[in-house]
Amino acid sequence: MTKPTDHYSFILSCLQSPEDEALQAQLASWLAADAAHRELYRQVRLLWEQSPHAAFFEEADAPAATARFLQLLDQTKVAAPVVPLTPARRRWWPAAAAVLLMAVAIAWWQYSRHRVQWIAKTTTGQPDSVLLADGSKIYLNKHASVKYPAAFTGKERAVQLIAGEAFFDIATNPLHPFTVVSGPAQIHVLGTSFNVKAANTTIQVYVLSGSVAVAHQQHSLRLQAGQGASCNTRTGEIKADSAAGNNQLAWRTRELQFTDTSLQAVCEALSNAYGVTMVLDPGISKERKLNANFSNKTLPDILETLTALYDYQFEQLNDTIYVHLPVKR
Amino acid sequence: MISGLYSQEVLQGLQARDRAVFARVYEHFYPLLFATARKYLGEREQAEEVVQDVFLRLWEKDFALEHAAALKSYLFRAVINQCINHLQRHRLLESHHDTIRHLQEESYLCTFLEEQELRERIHYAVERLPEQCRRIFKLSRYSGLKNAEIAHELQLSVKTVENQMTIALRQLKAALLDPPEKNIPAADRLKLLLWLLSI
Repeated sequence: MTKPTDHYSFILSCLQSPEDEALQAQLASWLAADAAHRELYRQVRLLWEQSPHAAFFEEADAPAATARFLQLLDQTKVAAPVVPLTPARRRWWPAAAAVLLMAVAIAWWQYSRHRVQWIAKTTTGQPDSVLLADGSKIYLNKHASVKYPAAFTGKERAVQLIAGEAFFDIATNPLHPFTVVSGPAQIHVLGTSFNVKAANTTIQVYVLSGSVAVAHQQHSLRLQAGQGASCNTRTGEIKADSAAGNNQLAWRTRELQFTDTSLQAVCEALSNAYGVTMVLDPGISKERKLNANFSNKTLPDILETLTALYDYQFEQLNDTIYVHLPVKR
Repeated sequence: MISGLYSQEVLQGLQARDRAVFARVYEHFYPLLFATARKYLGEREQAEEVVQDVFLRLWEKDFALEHAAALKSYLFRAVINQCINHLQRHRLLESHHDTIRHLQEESYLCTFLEEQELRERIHYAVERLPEQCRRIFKLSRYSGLKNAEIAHELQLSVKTVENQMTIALRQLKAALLDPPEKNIPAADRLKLLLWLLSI
């Protein structure tokens, strides 16, 4: 079935597709056939499983870290009590002043070297967008807040979603992975576009193109285009969200698609897309299904259509939509 | 092979606060100790601080280590303790409760140190792979991308990615797990030997 020279690529596909039952069955019989096969598989699997943990060693720049440590040692010496070798006071005083000046200079140099200028952007009643130094774009929904560096330095690009909802369109750059940090959770990407909504203890992610990894401490989940997930920031649990769809992006795209969608879900999508609160009469069935597409429509237009399709009244008062049965005459 | 750092001379140098000896020991153990701290602390700055603290303590206080051979496990243990302190100080105790319980078990630490050493050797071996091969392997194993995604990012065919991954695994196994006296051509054996000596 596999030539001896193909052992590595066979093992590789087995490791990469643990869900492929046919392949795993093939692997089982291959392993049963020969002790040498089992030993080879054990060793390759060991390398395969341990190698992701080798990534931290990439961050360890030993010569630079040693230089920093030696600097620290020198500063520690300064902090130690200075004992004058001769009784004459004025001899050590200028020296101590020079040492102090040097310590200040070193501290300042350290500080300015590590300083990254962060810019905060916060929206209130209007959505807005931000263009980052690398060409990536962030679109902020109402009442959202992000922090981003004026320039990306170093190996990784990182921004913070402080609150609310934002859509990220990230410029591809395989050498500089991009991370969105939202509270304790991180979303790692290469080049892709996706939506993140941070509310209370839940962070919702929906991917439009490319793929991302959502991570929170030990947990992590990969998402492809069209997939969504929610992360509970208290427990760290990350769950796939099968109900997630393009309607999550409607606050920005103004595209809403309903296919056999319950009134309940229609209301959630509207409230999310237009930032309104929905109030339903108790007598209304939340399960009534809707099939409709809205493209670039204003909220009053949509409400008018819904009123016609559902034969319920959809009435807007400021930021609240009231849904009630038509008044009988 | 790295007996140079486990000599009584090095130990005496540390105890006498010899700056050059500190620099040598620091640079040698930094990757292992940093990666260990980095596993438990969120940011690289914190991990570096933990390693610095451990060595600063060696510098400031007299430390009585009798056998030079125990230097590595001594430093490893000190870094783990410092990590536990850090987690406790920052009230992360609750969420790391299980981690800390593990970290206090001697048998777990033994295995963990061995694993960390293997990971370090994997790191150096990956750095020595040919450029294309290295980049693909890192995207796959360090960044967790699928073959198709790597192919898309680097504008390559999926087949090429698979082939390069196979080459990477084969070379890593040869460099790390094959006994040197078997199956390795003289030139490669010399290279491996030089590499081992250089650690």
